[in-house]
Amino acid sequence: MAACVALVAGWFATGHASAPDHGLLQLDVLSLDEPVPGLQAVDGRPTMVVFTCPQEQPPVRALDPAYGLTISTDPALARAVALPRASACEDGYVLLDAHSHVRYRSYDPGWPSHAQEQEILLAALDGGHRMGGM
Amino acid sequence: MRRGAVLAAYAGLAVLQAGIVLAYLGRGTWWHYLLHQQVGWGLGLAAAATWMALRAGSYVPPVGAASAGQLVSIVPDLMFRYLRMPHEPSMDLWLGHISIHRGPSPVLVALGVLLLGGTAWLAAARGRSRPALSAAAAAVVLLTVACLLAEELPKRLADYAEAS
Repeated sequence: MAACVALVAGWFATGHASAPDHGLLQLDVLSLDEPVPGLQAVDGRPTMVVFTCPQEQPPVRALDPAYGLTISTDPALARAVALPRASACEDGYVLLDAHSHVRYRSYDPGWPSHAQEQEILLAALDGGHRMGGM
Repeated sequence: MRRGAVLAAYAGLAVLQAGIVLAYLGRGTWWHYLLHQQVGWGLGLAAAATWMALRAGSYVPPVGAASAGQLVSIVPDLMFRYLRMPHEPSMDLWLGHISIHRGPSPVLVALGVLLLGGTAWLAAARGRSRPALSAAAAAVVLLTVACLLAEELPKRLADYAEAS
């Protein structure tokens, strides 16, 4: 228990919130289903759209080529998908299904090394998965 | 011989725990580990305390109880990783796995559940049944209330904008 108290103290001491991004950080729930003008799935495939700042170097592609991947530095588009801090280099991404509907959105500054997480969600979109029981 | 087996079991659990920690760190989800590990440990200890309080003379090892609770609490993450299943609201069945993120002060609630569960186990181990049952119940109530107070998951992008 003492170790956990220390871990929690460390969490807050390093400036983290009790609920990062209002508890929505990398929650992995496909709760959205809406189109956003300006966002298009690549070749009709489930697509990941990363939002970052213009100062960032384009990252090495780390996603299965079966899925689309695009990078956007457009602040207006970032705001449209509720990722306004992406313009300040706090990267985030949205996942589009084959119909170009936004199905998932999350901040994730470490996204280039989290391909497995993204591919699981994209695969669920590819299989016509729909969330039930909201 | 028996002592060696027990030590080996503890060493195995420590290695397993280290593996779990590294898995969450590698996915950038340390925050999720903080929540589910504490809730799992806390409710595992609370369940053990309840058992010990209701059955005089019984004993449940705390490490085993906490580990079992942790396993239950991370089932959705195991399903995500190994069955490739995205999370869904119904996964709250696994010790509030979804709603705790959106409830009030998730990290503090999780720590509270652990402290109450630990207190319950310590009381039960000392033969103090009533305090043990009270603390165990409080751990369950704390998590339940936090999950009931949780905000709904966004269904529209506008919901995120309102939250930001």
